[in-house]
Amino acid sequence: MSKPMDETQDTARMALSALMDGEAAAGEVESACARWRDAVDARERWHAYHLIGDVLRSEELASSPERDARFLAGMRERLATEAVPLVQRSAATRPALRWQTASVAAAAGFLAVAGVLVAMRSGGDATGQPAGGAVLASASQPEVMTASGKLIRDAQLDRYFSAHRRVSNGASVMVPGAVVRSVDTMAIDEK
Amino acid sequence: MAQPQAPAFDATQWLTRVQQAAASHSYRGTMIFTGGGIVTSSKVGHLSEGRQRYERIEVLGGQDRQQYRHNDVVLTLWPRDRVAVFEPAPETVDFPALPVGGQRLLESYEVRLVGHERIAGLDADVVMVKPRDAMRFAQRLWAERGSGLLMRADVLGPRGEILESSAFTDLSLGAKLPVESVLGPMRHLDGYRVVRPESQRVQLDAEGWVFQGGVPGFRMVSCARRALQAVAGGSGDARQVLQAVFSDGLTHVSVFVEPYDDRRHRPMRTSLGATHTLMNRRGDWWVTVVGDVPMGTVQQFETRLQRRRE
Repeated sequence: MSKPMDETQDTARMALSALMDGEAAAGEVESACARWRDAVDARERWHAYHLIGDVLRSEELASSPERDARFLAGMRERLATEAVPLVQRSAATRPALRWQTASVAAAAGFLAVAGVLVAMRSGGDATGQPAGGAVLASASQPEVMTASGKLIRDAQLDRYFSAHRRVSNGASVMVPGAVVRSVDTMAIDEK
Repeated sequence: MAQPQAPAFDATQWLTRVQQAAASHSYRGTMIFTGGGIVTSSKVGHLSEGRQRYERIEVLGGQDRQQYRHNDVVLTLWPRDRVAVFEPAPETVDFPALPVGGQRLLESYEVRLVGHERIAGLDADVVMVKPRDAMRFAQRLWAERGSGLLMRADVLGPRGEILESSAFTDLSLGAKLPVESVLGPMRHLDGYRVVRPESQRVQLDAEGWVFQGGVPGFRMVSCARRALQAVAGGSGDARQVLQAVFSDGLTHVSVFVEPYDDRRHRPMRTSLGATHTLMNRRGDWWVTVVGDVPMGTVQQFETRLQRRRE
């Protein structure tokens, strides 16, 4: 089975990077933009680059275990001595999705990349597929859309996440107690 | 399988030990989850006494939620909405991995000891679990040296960036959770609406579906028909869906299938932390794929799901 992302992805990624950093030559700009138009992955990455660019300016933020251990030790002391509101949301506040909290967390050096909730809506390609026929990836590329807790609730994504969490316990099967994860909480909070 | 690591580190043994530690040790602590720009913390307690297992998780912040477990029964309480949801403990999480589970993981990942650190005041081994292909994410794991209890797990993206992280910030190994603090809430549910969603095992092909070819490294570990419950146990419109779960020994992907409903369903893909989701229409059916894997892998699951030809 071939790897799904290889050279084309790498080239596209590098072109995007160059574009982001203002280092792309004229021809590269055009092809990077063309790739951006056509490749949803590229758009997703572009979006992500912009959103997390500021946070990731420094190589330092790519965490080293020692740095994280120091942070955790510090966090533990703080938790012991003060009530730190780790989830800074109230029902009235719409979470500025991931960006502000990402800055807080990243500033503490804990997270190198916050990640971004990106919902891509398929552009009008809702026609039924031939029954039983082989279905390949849709030719029409979905747009990049900024999602919200509302989108999650409208699409009822929280139900699927929750059902998935029950059996998966997070990306690592071995983590004790990590049953409750972000999206569940995020979807709930935005009422 | 040839293991290129230093002979002193036995990956299979280490993995087995870590898997079993969460089930066999008693502990209490605070766990912080960060991912997708969100930070949540939980107070966790686990008691292992002979064959009895008790567990309690309290999520701090956001909407109150508490989870209790006694052996194979899990109760989730939503105090604000006064809803109590009882479910069987999921099999995939319940049993400590047998050595063969460790071997499965080694098919798709390379496991290396990369260091030793102190975390939350305890000595830990730091291990890197590196994928052998681009279908899955790398993980860096910290396990307490004495017990093997996993104290921190980071899921890493292709550039080594942290996509999400779960970590104990304080941990008392051996601390005993009072049994009544678990059994009490599980029994005293006055004023709560009690919900017991049902699920039944089914055969995927009997339901009319097959996966064309496989997705590398992943094998189906369960297939059931169940009601999708709203997270806070809210409305009563629990719909029946088919859920097939796949594992590569470390991470999971769920594939959900249900009848298409044009009033509700909109194709989309989402990405949050390490979790990627794809929702798409397949004729009269609606397919949702959720996994803690790259988007390309989620897409492969969706592509390869085919309606059986009769």
